[in-house]
Amino acid sequence: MDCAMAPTDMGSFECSNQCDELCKSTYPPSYLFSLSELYPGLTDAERALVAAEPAKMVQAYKLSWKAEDLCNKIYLSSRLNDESDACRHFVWSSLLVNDVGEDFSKRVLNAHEQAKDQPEDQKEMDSHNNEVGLKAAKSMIKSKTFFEDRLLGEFEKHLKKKDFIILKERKAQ
Amino acid sequence: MKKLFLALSLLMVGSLGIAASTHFWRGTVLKETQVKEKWGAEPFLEKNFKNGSMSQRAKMAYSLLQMKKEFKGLSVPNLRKKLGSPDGYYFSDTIPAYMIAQAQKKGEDSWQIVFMIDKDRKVKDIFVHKNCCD
Repeated sequence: MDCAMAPTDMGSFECSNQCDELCKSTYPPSYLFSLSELYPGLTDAERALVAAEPAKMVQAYKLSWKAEDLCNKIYLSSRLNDESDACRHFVWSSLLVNDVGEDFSKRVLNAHEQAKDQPEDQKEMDSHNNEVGLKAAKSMIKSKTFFEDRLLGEFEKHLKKKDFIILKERKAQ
Repeated sequence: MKKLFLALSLLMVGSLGIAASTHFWRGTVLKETQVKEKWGAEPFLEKNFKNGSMSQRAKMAYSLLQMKKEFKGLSVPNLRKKLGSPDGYYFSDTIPAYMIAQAQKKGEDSWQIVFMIDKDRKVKDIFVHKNCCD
């Protein structure tokens, strides 16, 4: 029997119950896992999440950069354990909820706090401030008032109410 | 079909790569000569760095850059013991960074010394990075 080639397209393609299987990445997890080495400072839990959900994690990290840029508008530097740190966590978790949903946001935020050598008080501060951001974002989304340019104002409102844990208060600039 | 999946996977991997390179090229890093020119070259003294102000730390930045080999392989807890608690931020709060200059008003720059870590969370590089704002 001779072989023949015929042009084909997606017109008749159906995968129904096989979608999950067929849409799996063709790259082995170990390869995707190694790609996450490109990102510095990721915890093991974050690297595993990058391997499982690379596209979503790229988005999540892009949002963390956005959070940093937004908070720098107030503080002129990104520092650790102070108000700028609280701001980044508040804004990042808010942006995440709005963009990738609450469940995945929590997975990302929890994975981020899994560094074994991070002091406990810093983990507590970050987790608490993430929680304030998640709640604020959920409320804004529910009332259809979530806008990125409102986030810094919301942060300052919560800061005034002393809703954040801040380990080291920043001296006036 | 395989080609489609391969293309989608490559697209995904490509996005990851682009995001990574965006990060690596993000921000400004000073050359050693620029650091020396900006803040001088006082010798690094552990105690002075640990307890010193930002401007005192800044003067030791150049010497620290000369000591990369000595710091390479140091774990984050050991780095903290040596230099004190990090107070800067670079990409993630798990990467130790120490502030050496704080902008006082818009238009000024904030600078920090970053101790880049590898996947085992050991120091692999040291550089002076503009913390804010590009």
